[in-house]
Order: sequence, then structure tokens, then C-alpha cells
Amino acid sequence: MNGDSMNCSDIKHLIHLDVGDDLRPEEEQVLSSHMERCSTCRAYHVEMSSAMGALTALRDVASSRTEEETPFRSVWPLISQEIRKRQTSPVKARKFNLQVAALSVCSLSLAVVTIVQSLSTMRGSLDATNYVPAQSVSQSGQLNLPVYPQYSAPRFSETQDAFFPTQERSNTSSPQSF
Amino acid sequence: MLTMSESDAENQSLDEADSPENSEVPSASEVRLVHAARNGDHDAFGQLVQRYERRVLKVIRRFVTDQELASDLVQESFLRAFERMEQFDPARRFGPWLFRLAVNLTYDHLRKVRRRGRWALFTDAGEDRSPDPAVADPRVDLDLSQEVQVVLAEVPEAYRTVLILRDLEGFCTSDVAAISERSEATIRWRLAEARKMFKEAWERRERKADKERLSSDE
Repeated sequence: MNGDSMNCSDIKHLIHLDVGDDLRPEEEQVLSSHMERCSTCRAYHVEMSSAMGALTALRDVASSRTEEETPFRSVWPLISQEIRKRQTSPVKARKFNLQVAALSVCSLSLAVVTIVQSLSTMRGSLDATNYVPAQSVSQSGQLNLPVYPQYSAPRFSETQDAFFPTQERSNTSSPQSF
Repeated sequence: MLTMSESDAENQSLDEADSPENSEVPSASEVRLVHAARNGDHDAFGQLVQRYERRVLKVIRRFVTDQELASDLVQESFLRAFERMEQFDPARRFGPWLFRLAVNLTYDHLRKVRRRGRWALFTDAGEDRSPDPAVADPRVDLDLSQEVQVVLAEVPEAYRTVLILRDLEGFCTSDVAAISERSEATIRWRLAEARKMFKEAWERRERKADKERLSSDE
């Protein structure tokens, strides 16, 4: 791998690893040969090292503080006790909860009654509008198709009557009467 | 070309897995203890607990600040480990398996707390309120480690775990890979990304602090 063949974004990946000493020897070589020539990457390395410095400071501070704050107590006595308790306690028998079942049945039946009632109310309102089914079968087995009133187009004189009542028409037809 | 995605790193790891230097062999004493613990030997499991408890506590404290809660999580981790000893592959090392249980348990707990907080009628006030000019800025009292903790919280979970295990707890990349159940190449890639994210978040915070300092001087 040659540092010349790599662009700065590739080198940045190596810098991220280098600040934590996670580079392989061949990668270290590539990085150092690139850094000799590239000032941008050198500056980036400084910035990255500064950020990592903050992180490592946290590592040192937090670990020393944890030890100072609380004296260490082994958790094994508590764990051992808990393991024994779990092993000696019998397997809990499951008990049927009648209250939950009764409540569920009540709410379900209430829901069914409500739905049935609302359906019958809906049917009553449909009957009131004289609903005629689209097709039905007569007692003799013959298919009765719905009969619609026959449509006949109005004649011109009728439409004229409708739009111009007789009185108004006579007025409009004889302007001399003014 | 070195820039690669996580999947590229995964493929690269397949080639690396065969090399002998990557074979991590558990120590003889640990194998003996694990074998005895798997057969229900309490004392053997006790020795394993005593061997690992400090380290597990330290790792959990990186995610949880409350000492009591961290101690409870340590206990719960060991109890879970004892219950699942049958599932553990004795050919592998016990440590990474245990740390994985502990980290997963801690994240489960943190997620549960976050979910509960989202649906609670009342939540802790204060964090989102605008600062009161009459009251001194509490951030002044925050020392560097607390500042870093805040910045670390901005890094996504998967990357933060790698960063904590490698840079704060000092696990080597192969151990981090074993704990996270990912290949070493993936962990190296994530580590690089995590450090980059941390740097960006850290610089953002510094810029913000500088801006606030300037405005308060004026």
C-alpha cells in the first residue's frame, strides 16, 4: 500500500485509528509517508488527538473517582442467595383468574347487544323509506325485475308552458299592449 | 482505496478469521470453572463472579451513573449468566460472553427507562427550559469528564458501545468484536467512525461554549 495512491479521506480513516494505537504496521507506514507531505492531514491529526485527549481524560478521571467514591463490595453473597432462593422455591402454579374472565364476558355481551340494537334501528329506518329491492323471485319462480316509470320526453309546447306561463307569454308576445 | 463500508469490513474479516493469531483460546482454569459451573457447581460460578465482577461493574458504570443501579445490573447480569450457562459455548471465552450479557442488559434497562419517561404524565423538568439569567450557569460546574459524558451521549448507540469498550475500558479490538458479536474488521471500521463522530460532537460543543462565553462577555 502506498501513501501516494490514497486521498485525504482515506488517510482520515487511518488517523481515526492511529489516535487510539489501532493501526497495523503497514498502515502506519502509509500514514506517516502521507503526513510528511500533507499539511491538511497533519492539522486533522492534531485536532483528532485533542478530541481523543478529552476521551482518555474521562477514562482516567472516572475510573479513579469510582474507586474513591465507594468501597467495593462483592455481589457474590447476594447472587448466591438469589440462586438458592430460585432453586428451592417451587414452581408457581398458575391460578385461573375468574374476575378477569367474568369482566371480559360481560363487556363482550354488552358489545353484542349494542350492535344488534343498532342494526335493528337501522333496518327500521330503511323500511320507512319504502325501499324496493332491485330484483325478487315470485312464488312461481319467475324473476321479477324492478319496474321503473317509463320516461317520455316532454314536447316543446309543454316545456314552453313550464318555462313561460300563459299569462307571461301573452305579455311578452304582444309588446303593443304597453 | 481504504475507505470502505461496514459490509466491506465484514467481508474482509472472513479472510482474517482463518489466520492462527486470531484464535482466542480460553485459559485452562477458566475452562475448568466454566465446565463446573455448567454442571451446577455454585462455588465454581462464585469464583467466576469474583474474577469478573469488578470489571463488569466498571463497564456498566460507563453507561449508568447511579452506583446502586449499576450494582443491581451487575447482579442481574450474573444471575442471567447462571441461568443461561447451558447456552454458553465452552470452546469460547467466558469473559466476552459475560460482558455482552451485561451490556445488553444495561441497554435494555436504559431503553425501558426512556420509554417509561416518554409516556409518563410528569417528567423531570429543567433540561429543556431556557436558562434563567439570574441563576448561575450550572455548566460552569461541569468538569471535563462530565462534558465528555454529555458529548458521548450524542454518539449513536452501536458506535458509542465500541468507543466505550475500546477507548474507555481498554478492551482490545478482538475482545470488542467478541463482546459485540461482530467481526474485528467491522469493529475497526466502527471505531474509526465513532471517533470521528465524537470529534465532531466535541468540536460542536466547544464552538457553542465559545459563542456563549462571547455573548456573556458582551
